[in-house]
Amino acid sequence: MENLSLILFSICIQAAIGIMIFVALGKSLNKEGQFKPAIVTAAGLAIVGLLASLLHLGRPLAALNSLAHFGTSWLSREIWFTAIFTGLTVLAAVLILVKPTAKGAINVLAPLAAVVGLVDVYVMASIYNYASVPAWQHGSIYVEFYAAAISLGAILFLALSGKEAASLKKAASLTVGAAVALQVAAMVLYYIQLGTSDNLAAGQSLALLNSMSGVMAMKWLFILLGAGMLMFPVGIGGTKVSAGQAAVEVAATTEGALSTTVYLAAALVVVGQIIGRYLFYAVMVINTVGLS
Amino acid sequence: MGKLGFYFDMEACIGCRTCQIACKDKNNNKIGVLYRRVRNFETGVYPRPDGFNYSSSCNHCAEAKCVKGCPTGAMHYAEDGTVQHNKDKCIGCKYCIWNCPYGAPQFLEESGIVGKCDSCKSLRDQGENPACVDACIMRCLEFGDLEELKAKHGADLVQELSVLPEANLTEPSVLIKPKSCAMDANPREKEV
Amino acid sequence: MSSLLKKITDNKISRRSFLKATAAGTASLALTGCGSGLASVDGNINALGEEQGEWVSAACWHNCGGRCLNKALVVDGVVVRQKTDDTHEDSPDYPQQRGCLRGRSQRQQVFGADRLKYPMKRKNWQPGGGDKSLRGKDEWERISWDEALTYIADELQRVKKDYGNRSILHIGGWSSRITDISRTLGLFGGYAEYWNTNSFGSWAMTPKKVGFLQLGVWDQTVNDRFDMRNCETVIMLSMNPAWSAMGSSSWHYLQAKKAGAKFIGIDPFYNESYSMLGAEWVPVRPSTDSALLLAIANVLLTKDHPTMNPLIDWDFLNKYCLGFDADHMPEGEDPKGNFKDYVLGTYDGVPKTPAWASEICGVDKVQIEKLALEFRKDKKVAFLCGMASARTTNSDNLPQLIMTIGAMTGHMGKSGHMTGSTMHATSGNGGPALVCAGSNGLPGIANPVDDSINAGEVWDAILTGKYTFTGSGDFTSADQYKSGEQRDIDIHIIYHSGGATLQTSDGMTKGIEAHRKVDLVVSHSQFVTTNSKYADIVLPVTTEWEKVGGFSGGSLVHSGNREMLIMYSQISEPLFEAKSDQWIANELAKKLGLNEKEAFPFDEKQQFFNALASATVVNEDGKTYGPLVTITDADIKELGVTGKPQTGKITYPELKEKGVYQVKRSQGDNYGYIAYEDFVKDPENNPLTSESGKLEIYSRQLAKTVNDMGFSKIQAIPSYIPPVNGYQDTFQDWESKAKGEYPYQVINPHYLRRSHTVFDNVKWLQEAWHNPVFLNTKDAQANGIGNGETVLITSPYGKILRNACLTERVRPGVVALPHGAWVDVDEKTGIDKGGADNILSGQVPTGQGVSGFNTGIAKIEKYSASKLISDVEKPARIVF
Repeated sequence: MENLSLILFSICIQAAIGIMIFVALGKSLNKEGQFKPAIVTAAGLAIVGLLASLLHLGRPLAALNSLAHFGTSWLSREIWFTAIFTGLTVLAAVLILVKPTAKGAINVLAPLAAVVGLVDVYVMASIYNYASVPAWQHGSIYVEFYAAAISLGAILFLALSGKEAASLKKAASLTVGAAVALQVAAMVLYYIQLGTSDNLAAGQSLALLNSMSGVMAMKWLFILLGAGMLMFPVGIGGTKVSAGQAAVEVAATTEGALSTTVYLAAALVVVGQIIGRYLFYAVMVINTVGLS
Repeated sequence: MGKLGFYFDMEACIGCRTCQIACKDKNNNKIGVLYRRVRNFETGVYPRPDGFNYSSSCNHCAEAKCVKGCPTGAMHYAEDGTVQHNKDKCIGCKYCIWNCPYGAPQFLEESGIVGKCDSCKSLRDQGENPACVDACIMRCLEFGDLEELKAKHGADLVQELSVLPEANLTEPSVLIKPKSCAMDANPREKEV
Repeated sequence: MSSLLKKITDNKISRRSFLKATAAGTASLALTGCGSGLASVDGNINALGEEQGEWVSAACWHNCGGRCLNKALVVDGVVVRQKTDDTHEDSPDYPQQRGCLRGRSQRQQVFGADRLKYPMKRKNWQPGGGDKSLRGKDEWERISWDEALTYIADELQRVKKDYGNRSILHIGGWSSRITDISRTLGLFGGYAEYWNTNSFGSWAMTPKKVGFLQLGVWDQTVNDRFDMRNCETVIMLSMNPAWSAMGSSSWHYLQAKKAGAKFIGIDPFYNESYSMLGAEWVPVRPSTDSALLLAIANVLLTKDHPTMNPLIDWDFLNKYCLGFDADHMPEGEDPKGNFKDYVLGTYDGVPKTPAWASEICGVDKVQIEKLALEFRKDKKVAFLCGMASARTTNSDNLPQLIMTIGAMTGHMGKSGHMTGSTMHATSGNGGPALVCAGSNGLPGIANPVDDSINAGEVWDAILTGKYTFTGSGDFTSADQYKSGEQRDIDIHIIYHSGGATLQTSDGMTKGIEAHRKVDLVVSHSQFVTTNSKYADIVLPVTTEWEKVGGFSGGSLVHSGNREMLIMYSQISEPLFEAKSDQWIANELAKKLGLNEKEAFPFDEKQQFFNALASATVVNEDGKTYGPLVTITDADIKELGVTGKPQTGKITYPELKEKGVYQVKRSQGDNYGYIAYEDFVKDPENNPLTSESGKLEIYSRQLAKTVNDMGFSKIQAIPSYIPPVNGYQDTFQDWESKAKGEYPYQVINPHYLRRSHTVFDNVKWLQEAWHNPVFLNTKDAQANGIGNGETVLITSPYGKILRNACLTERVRPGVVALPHGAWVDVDEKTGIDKGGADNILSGQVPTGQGVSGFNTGIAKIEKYSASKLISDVEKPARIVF
């Protein structure tokens, strides 16, 4: 799993960004909302993500060198934005934990982090879109990254701090649904491009993707199931058609059905997005005439 | 002085891989790491098959994506315009590996950084040619001022082949005298 | 083994400290210190080398088809880099002697982690043999030199006493007489020899008998490289200089192309040479060239018209040849036996038409007609061939037939016209050596035993105790190719003092069996080669880099091109406990109670000096020769030898520094060469080597000699004799064309990863060349084999595995298996995972004792049991 560090990094950071976006939205609807679990989790994810990114490096101790080329390098920009986002989020978390009274500062930090994060997602996608990997040279990867951030953020936000923003529940659920729908649509277009490309590397990526169709099916099963559960919470428990639903049923008997549903949905979406990210890296074929 | 780069006479190449080994020797590269590599392609069908060899290295592109994308500045242009790599700055993020459409940068496991063809700068600074150039038994590799190479080898030189990316992506500093079959669509690579 | 390898690989002892230690003679240095680390020099040493190192001329001594200048950058006794000739400006007329990928990997071989470090004994071997069946799978024990030589000497004495000297089979590569041990064993009372036609096939004997020979060798009937540029058409038959004649040969052919020549390639494989030269391809089946060429003769005869369509040079045929038609037959022979009437089918009722040939050789009859017209006499044509097509069974007349086509069309003895074989380092560049190697001055030592066993019978002879004696195996002997005589023989010792005979001789499966029968197998080697793998006592020998120095080039046969002589120097002290072959020969002589001064009256340094002093070079007149090297008293003193000062063209220090002396060539210089020029001018006073002194299209001597040897029968004129294991044998019924059990033909192209077998263990080269088996795409698909998949190839003699490379460049029906891969038998299945060509070949001597490497049949199938890993991923054979 050579790409483990990258999967961890991008999923953690994007999830953290997503959470902070919903924290910011939550705050705009509920001025009194603290969203402590959400903010602290976002900070934790951001730190884990940053540390994971170091593992990708051949010389992690020299990581600071990467800040040198903001002007030309998307990767350099990513490190900047990720670092700033993490800094803002961690600061907000620290304030909540240490000085919860500093509401004003937190209320500024959260939307600021969300905005920086939104830009960061764009920068992250640009890294891949700009590289010479045909399988990555498609607008769908922006959709994929934003959808991951939004869906992970929304669902984790609901699971962690949903109670403080009851009015956001429906909107957040719908956002997850919309994000996933967009993700599906983008994937269809992506497949079409990959399939019709006469680029040899693109062809090889497609072949790789096809050889992992089981994994691909798992990704969508998990994501759609998770999103579905969130959007149609009432429907569950009625029929026994899948393992996921069976698990839900079991869970429903022990705790409150609705919150359990959210946790399970969150878990499913997270796992689904992680699988999706695994596929994203696994199909990387730079070109066919290279040295490696 | 104009842009420096390699000239490759595909018509004369017999695919022997002496350049690849001379490069390996010069750079002491481990198995799996190649700064120059020869690949063999086949076109046509029996009884009229044809084939060509392509010897590739870093193309020292004028618009090098590795240089632009490098977050540290390790990948940079030397004074002579060639793309060079500073080992001390490199953090081993591999972004250049993703960025180079020619697959030139190679990750070196033991040192955690990348490496690539430096056009044997140390030899050139002493007035010599890159090792691959002086090794070629068919004399199909040269290195020098691209304008001079063009003047010497005629106008029918190309920077793109059917197996290569479009030259406008990075403006590679390479001139290839192609076999006509190398311009055909869909050549088949052969591991000979 | 693999965990050991890992341990070694992981060990970070630097190459430099390791080699320093070995150079200082501390061979007991922990072996794990070298590992693959031997091949990895860190960047600092390299940078250091560029400033402080010394470039030393380094040997490149293999039977590779080239002879090139190799230089090693030595820093503190460590080789950090290599380069090739840069001693003068490079041009097509005056080319640098550039080396190839194999020579450029030389340091990887010499300092490879798999070098043998100590004498070794097979654990279960005892005097008399011990458990013989374990050869090839036993464990190794390290022993001292004294133990090793004592074992060998005792066994030699015992076997000599009990069975006589003829029960000692000494094999030294292509000739038993060329290695140092032959001197010791000669003094010891002699040994049975091994003889072969390995490289040359039917070119070994036929040319001399029919007059198709110039300058004393068979492959100098073509003009020099400058004259090739005058050709309009170059027709190549079974040639691939790109893979078998490195150095500048392919570049010379390219000059002919640039000068406007059109190329045609007649071959089962559209190889890199043809591809580079843009040759038209005539895809002929293996071992069927005789049929194709007979049809060409037929077309020439039937389409020739003196004015309208002048194809045949009748004047040439009438004046210089014997046996073409009834009017030009040797006295006392039946006029009906002439070539022309055979081709036209006058008496046998079978005209050798394109339609007749097409059924056999697979070339479309229209293409045959078209090809025949390309030979026309009014064009400047070079008709060239390599040896591959004659490394086939029943091919004794093939060189004669090639000569006949050349003679019919008059492509001999004139500028722009040439016919013949051209191969190895002299490929595309005929002519006498302009720089001639000297002699080491060692007096010859005769072998008192006259037994000499042909390669095609040698393993059978060991197993059955019988063989066909046909005279001396030595090419220079007048006693070669005598009438066959069935003899009994009882081999008890196989002594491999060089070469890779078990690997490169036909019938390896039987060879392994034979090795498991005798009392003792000794092998000198640098690695666990095939000879050593199946031996009892293995003696580690030095490479040329660890010897006092020497020369390459300066002679035509397999030694170099005509224009230069290379002198190389010592690069390193002997590694570990490796010793030179001569040291071993000396010490063994002592153990055997012989006078070693008789074996070697003077040492290796004096031998080197003798060769240095006796090298000669052509004078500006292009005819006379003088000493090459200027030697002073100071040089003699420095070398510590005895000798006299002399004046030559280059001083000893300069030659040592440059490493090469090359004659500067230019178009129109005095060094050009037109083969047969003297003969064509004045045949009476310049008779050829044949009985009649003419080109013998009817050769009584050839037929008599071959037929008397007794392996198989031929005619005096070139005729088509179906080969053994040829195309026809791929059918169970030729008439109905029902395919048999082995429906494919196998050929063994030379392969650039190695020189025959040498270098095949070098990882850099394994990485560069994958060694697949080349299959025609349709054939592979018909057998359900995909590109890169593992194929089981089965012949009547053995089974091998290789991964497939599907290609359109091999004609359908042909399996092209690269020659020389080291055998790697899986003892459980009996299948060779190395892809050794000779596992597939059998022992089928025909004609003049030819080995039919390129006449083989096989079946191919997908191997599902497991995928073969690539050779580069296999662990190196590291014993200690």
